[in-house]
Amino acid sequence: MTEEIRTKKESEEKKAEDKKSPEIGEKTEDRNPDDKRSWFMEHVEATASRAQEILGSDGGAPEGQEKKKEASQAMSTMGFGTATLGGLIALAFAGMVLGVQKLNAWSKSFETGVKLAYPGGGKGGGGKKEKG
Amino acid sequence: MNYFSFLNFFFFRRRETIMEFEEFFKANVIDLVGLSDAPEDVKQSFLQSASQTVLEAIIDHIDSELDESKKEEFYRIFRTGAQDEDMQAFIKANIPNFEEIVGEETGRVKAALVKAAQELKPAA
Repeated sequence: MTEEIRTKKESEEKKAEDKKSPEIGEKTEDRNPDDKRSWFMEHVEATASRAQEILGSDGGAPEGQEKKKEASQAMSTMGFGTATLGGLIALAFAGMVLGVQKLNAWSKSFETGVKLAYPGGGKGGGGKKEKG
Repeated sequence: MNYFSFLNFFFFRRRETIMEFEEFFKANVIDLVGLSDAPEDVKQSFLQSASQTVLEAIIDHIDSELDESKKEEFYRIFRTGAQDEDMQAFIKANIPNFEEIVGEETGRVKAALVKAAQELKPAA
């Protein structure tokens, strides 16, 4: 009987553990692939939603939003150097900037954008620098 | 001055280091938001959504810089089925700082995504 209660408790704890989103850097290979996928999808949606709040744009009036969305889709197909603009932005996000001249040229304005999104990032001076 | 000290307790906390700008610029956003171990389709979906956010931010930025008549022309050209040469010509003639806008918005969105993931982490 005691063994049965303990097994049930362990099973409940395992279920609760499985519901938690994975920690950054946590190994998740031994989790159910479907559960793992849904954890990550939730993480993606929550991150995207919070990022939109940080960026602080509601896109304006609904009619304007539709127009802007259509314009952004058209712009993604626009040629930019040897690729499309949408393709180059994806490359920039993947950190594949070496050898892509256009992206290297962006770095200064990229830094400006980062400072706009995180204006307080330079204050406080917290944390330790890696030695040598 | 270092603008990435906010990453200290996030991505590189185990190495006890601060991410420098160049490192942040070249880092894969997938790793920065904790999706390195995610299935490929989830990573692709995230990248597509992030790229779309940048494109919409670029449109907002351009929208705020153009006067009414140019704005009308912009939305007339940049729509479904737009011709590449028409878009290129409009950008060249009316938005001389286009590359700066693209760089700025890409950086702004990347930083916002990382910051969002960092904020959500304690609740995970």
